[in-house]
Amino acid sequence: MYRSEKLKRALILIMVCLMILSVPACLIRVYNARDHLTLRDLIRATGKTGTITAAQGDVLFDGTAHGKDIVGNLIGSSAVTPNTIAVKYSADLVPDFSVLRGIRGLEDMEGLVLETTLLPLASQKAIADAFSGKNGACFSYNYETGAVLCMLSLPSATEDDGTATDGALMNRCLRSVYIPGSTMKVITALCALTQNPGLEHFTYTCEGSRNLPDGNTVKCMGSTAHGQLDLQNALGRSCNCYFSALAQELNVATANATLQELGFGATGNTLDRLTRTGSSTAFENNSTHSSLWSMVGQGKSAVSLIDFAMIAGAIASGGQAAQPYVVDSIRDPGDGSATYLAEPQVNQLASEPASRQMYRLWVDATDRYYRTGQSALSARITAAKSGTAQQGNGTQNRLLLGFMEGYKVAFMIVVEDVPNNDPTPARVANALAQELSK
Amino acid sequence: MIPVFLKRPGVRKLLVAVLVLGFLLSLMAMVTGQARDLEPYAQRMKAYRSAMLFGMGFFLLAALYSICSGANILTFCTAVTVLYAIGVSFQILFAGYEKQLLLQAGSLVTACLVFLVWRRNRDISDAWYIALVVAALVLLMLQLFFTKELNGARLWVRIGSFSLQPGEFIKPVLVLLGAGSYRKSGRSFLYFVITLLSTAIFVLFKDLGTAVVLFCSLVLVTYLTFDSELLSLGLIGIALAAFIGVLMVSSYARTRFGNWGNVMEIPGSQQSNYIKGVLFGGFSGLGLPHAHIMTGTDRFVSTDASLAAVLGVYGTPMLLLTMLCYGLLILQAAHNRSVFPANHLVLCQVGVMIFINTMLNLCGSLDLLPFTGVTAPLISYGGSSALSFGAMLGLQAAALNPAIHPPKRRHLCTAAKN
Repeated sequence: MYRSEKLKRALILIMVCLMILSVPACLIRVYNARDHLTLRDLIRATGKTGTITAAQGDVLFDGTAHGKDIVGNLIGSSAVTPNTIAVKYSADLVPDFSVLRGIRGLEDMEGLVLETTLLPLASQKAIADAFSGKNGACFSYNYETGAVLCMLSLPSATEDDGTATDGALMNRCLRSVYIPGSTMKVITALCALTQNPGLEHFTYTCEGSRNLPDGNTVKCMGSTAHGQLDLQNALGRSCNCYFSALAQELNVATANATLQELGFGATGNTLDRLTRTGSSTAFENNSTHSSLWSMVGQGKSAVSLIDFAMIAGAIASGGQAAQPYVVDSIRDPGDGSATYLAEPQVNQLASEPASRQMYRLWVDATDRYYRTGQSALSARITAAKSGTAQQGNGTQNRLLLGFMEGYKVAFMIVVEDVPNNDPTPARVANALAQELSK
Repeated sequence: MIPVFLKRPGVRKLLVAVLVLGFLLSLMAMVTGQARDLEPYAQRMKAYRSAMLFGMGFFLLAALYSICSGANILTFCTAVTVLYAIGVSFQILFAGYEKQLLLQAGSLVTACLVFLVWRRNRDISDAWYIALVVAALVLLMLQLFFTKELNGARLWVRIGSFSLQPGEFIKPVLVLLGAGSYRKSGRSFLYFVITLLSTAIFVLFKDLGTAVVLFCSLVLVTYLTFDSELLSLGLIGIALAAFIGVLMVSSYARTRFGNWGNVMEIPGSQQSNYIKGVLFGGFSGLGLPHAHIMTGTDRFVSTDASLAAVLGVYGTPMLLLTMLCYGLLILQAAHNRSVFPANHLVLCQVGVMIFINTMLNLCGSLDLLPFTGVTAPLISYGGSSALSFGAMLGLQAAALNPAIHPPKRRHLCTAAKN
């Protein structure tokens, strides 16, 4: 022990020095972690942040979520889920956090302004009211510019303490896929016309049900016999038997190639920085019930509202459709300079001849079958196709796909858990048209 | 060279008076700061700065007195008092403060009791040694058979409405066992076996922090007792091999070490929250009214991350003061004049334990070291920790007791030669 006295003292001095030096070491470690601060963290700490607005200046978020019962699961709130604008753009909104002053340095901060492409809050509320308290979603966007006008997902009641109604935190337009029901027939028709324009004149006599090569049966709603139909009338009457027969006429490889170009099967999809789920179907052959039923609108088809709206937009504009975006710009409120500006991107989703042919058929079918009754559509809606999707648990969803040529807007609406022929999707579409006219 | 005037009794009394007055003023400032936090427009930063300045001034005066007079017991008391004050104010904020205040007071009482029992001891008698061995074995039995699993580790024994951690109480027991092992081969062997066994048990029960503390103490005592670098290096080599083996077989250990350095990539993890809380505080800390930003509902911030919370809530100067106080306690082992090996070993072991606990608590919670979950002495919430460190401080105070030292200062080297 005695000869190690000096060593002992040296070790003790080293320990003391390490303890003192651990303080600056910890400060350096903490300083290097500052880039990981998110808006969610800063909101939690300060309650203050930048601002997120709608297209015409409505403040949707300024540390407090406004209209969170309408757009909370898209914009975000103080207790926010990760896949929202407020979180994904947090670093852009609060760039000047001072490590020395901490949150005290943010007391006078205003933050940047993120302008979205969304309709004013009042318009979104009117569209949300058209759902009449039912759950569902409405996605609509400008298919020429890509600006997203509405990305409602109901319910959307998010609370600041993190509690929320079941399903309210997730935006259905981004993360949900639905069995498309008869809205899938638009895609099936487009595949047919892409393969062979002459299939416009393909006829089939519907007797209410149809036996398939594998022994299964396809039935129309209520086993209604529609009689002899061509493509346009089958689209208008939503004849399952006709479209199963049409699907049998499809070349599987060609159809799958068309589906792929339309966005089916794509992975890693995003809308700006928001993660979204893509569409899928299973057209493996043109003889089995599973494959044919998928092209009619049930089976293994699962579609995203965003993908379908893009397809509707492509049909409306000769096969081209813009990529949707919801963040238009991020600016400094002081001098108006932009740190981010959206760059619209237009892609060719479908062949131009097939798209124009489909456009004509679809518009005519809509005018003939969708202008009367309790689900009558506004004249502003150029073309639309409704659908009813059986969920397999006794419930069914109602969907509506369409576009408004006058506003260059495509839309896809889903209303969950409603009876057959429920008019809510049409009411939502009409409300959307009404708000766009303002 | 000590100025002559400082050796005059009158001057010394004056300095003592200044120290006591400074201590009282520090406590008053801290209490004022606490009370002012209840006022929404109170200038709390002034109160904190005042308390900090008083504390630092008191600390510096005490250090000066210690260096000049050669009596280090007062410095020891100063550092301990400052740490207790920080811990008490901290626990009032975060924990059920009535219970923790009682336990902190119990810690002081324990320290005093241990000091009174040990203050004139120069060595450990055989009877005492046997009693300590029995106590160590009882604590190990409690750990092995009576602990319940909580949050992936088995650390606590429930006795009625109380819970105790055998891993905390075994520390002062092993300190005394180590102290009594000097140049007694039988005792050394017993101490060696018990400590090694304890280390292995706590590793198995996923109390890695306690295992590290006990093992380092074992290496130190082995080195000081046997005077053999080879033996100590051999122990370290065995530990490294065992560590690699544990990493290979234990997914729990791999996870802990896998996360080291990457905690910011794991959103919502405890350590990332602690780091963010410190960032939010900036240089001068969040302040007590905003302390919830760092702590939220995480109860572990008052135990395993209490020093990180001191940094985040009270700011960098207060953490520096805290580490200075801990450093002063450790420096006692360097400046001690004890000629008795048992006391000398007590001081060294307590110093090592304070060092490791402090470093693991601060650096582990802020991702400089893997997170192992140990308490900060005298500051962290926890009755077992408070009582255990109270006992060790009592041992340290007793080992420093000037009353047992010969009138002339001697180095150990001189005493050995004589």
